[in-house]
Amino acid sequence: MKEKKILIVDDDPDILESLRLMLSLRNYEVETFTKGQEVFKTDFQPDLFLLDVWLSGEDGRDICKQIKETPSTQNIPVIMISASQALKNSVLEVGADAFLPKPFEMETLLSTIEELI
Amino acid sequence: MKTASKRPENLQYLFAQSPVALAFFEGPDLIVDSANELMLDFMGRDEKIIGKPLLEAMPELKDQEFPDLLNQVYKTGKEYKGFEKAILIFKNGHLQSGFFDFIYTPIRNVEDVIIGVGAIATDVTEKVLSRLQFEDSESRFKFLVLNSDIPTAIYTGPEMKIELANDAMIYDVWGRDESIIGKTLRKVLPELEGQPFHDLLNDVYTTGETYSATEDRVDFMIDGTLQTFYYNFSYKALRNPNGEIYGILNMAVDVTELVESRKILEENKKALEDSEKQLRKMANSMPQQVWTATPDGKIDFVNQVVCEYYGIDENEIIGTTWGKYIHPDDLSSTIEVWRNAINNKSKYEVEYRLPDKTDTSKYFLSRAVPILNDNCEIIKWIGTNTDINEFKILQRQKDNFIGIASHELKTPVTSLKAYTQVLEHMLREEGDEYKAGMLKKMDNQLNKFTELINDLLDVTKIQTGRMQFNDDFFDFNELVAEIVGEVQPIASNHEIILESESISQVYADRDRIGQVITNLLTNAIKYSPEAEKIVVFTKEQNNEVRLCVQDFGIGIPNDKKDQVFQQFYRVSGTKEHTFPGIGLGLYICSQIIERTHGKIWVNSKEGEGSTFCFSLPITYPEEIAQLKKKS
Repeated sequence: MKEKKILIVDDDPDILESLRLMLSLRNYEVETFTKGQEVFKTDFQPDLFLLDVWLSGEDGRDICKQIKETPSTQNIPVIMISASQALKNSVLEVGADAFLPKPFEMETLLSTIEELI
Repeated sequence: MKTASKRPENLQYLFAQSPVALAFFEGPDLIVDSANELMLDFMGRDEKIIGKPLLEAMPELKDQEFPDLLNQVYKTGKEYKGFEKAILIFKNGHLQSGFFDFIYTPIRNVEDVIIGVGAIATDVTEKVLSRLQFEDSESRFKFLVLNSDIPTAIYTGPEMKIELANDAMIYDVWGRDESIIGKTLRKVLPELEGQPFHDLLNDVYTTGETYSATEDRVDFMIDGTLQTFYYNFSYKALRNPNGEIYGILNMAVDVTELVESRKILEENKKALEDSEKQLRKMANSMPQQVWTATPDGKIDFVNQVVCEYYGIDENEIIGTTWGKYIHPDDLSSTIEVWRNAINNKSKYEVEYRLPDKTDTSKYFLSRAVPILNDNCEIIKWIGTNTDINEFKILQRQKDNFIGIASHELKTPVTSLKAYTQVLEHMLREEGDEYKAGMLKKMDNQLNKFTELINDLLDVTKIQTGRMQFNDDFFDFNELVAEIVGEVQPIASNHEIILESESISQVYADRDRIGQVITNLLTNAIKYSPEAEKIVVFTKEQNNEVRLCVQDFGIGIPNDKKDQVFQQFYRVSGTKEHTFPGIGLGLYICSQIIERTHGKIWVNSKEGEGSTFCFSLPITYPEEIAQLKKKS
């Protein structure tokens, strides 16, 4: 089976690194960015986006909205993550397919990903 | 001048013009020789009687004494003086009575022989009649005085002799007996010496001007002691028919009781005013806004602090209600609190913002106490508004800080958790179960840390009213089973026994209710370290679903039962610090249940264990649909 690709955006490099490690172990191909706008510049074609909400100057929800409004990406599932549980509703409103509050169990993340791709 | 004989003309003139009535009766038959006009008028006749004998001219005198008196004077030559003699004369067609003073004088000729009788008369009818009337009215007046209930006395002469006094005056006012009649006031009431009454009586007696006193003080010697009384009384001059003052009428009404009761009333009023002044002073010296209001909330007193805050006069505030001053956004919640207090006749506490004179809003804590009468009705509210603005700013800063801090804490925990789990996964792949187990424990501790952060965040959300609830229908028993399944593995010493009855679906925030159940279960485990089981049961009754968690642990002292749901409550006593926790769990539970319109409570016996329960109302889908429609 061809490896599934996941694009992760989070402003914390350590979180990016740990997630990359975990997902690689589960045979996902992972690309990470600390800035949201990189999503629209890269050639990497993911099967799923994993987006943090607060991105040090950017709002992950705007990125999500843009993904969902762009024809080439609108069908790609988006999982949003945040330390603020209260953001759940607003995240689903901009078209995200799932929301996970930080910190989360890796098993929860993996099962959510598997459900979406 | 009507005359039968001839006399010198000047004499005749004098006779005619005399201001007294004059007549001359001649001879033994008393022939009317002459009579001036005044006399003719007295006699009720005209000049036709001249030359006629008296009895022929005035037959009505026949049975009266005058003809005899005249005859007597004629015969004896002795003058006769009559004083206030009554006479009946036929005048103007009918018999009239009159009174006359008169002199009958014998008239002699040059040979000293009596030739007739001269009569001089003065009409004193009016004088006599008025005296008779006066005497009559005086006796009637005396009768009235003696029988009157109003103390009355009459003093006569400048020496003020007690001429008359009724029983009311003698016994009730003076405290004396009837022997005082005829004695002078000075003698009878020596205690009046030094009091103003003798001077007053003297003034009235000399000037004739009535003196009226209202509530004048009089000291009388009663039963050997000088006692003070108050009277409304008058001194009125009494005049005889000649208009001369001969005495004083004294009437008096005892108003001692009235005056004294009013004095007491005035003293009480003054005491009340004094104490009100004192209270006002106290209220004005307080830094808080102090106010009182009528039962329906109309402000009837404010201290200076209130006036200064709004920059308006006290009178502009009195009569208004606090609704006029409270920030519109805080009004409905305040009214709710106030209505509750009215219904329960209880004191209340509420926080609201009050925009000041510059329209700057500050937070105040308003506390008010109802004052009840004997019928348990509210008669007044006494309240204070304390400026808690600084406190609220600090509290908000604290809440914001905790909110931000806990958010920031979660970021490194997320990273830590991720690495821990990656590492655990890698070690497990390598077959190193021992090291993987250590990392699993690390991960569990990170979960506990996350829970603490979440508790702090929840409290902050509760306090700022930002806790969100995503209500939906869910299977209550399924949730309970799920949580028991999650908690059981952590509880290494306890068996969790679940006894579920079949119950309805519940409409609430599933995650939040799950949070409450988890908390009750972990508490039960934590506070029963020696026990081996926890019993959880669910049931449905009275339109409610109920869940109870029973433990067999240390229990809660009776007086602490109500406090366990308060913020920061911790188990007290010597064991306190031996149990972990920051005292927020049950507070959060109670707030979640309260906001779901449910109830939470505990039954407990110290040393035997506790049973924590909560109930949630069952809401039916139709009601929810209606509620949603409305909103």
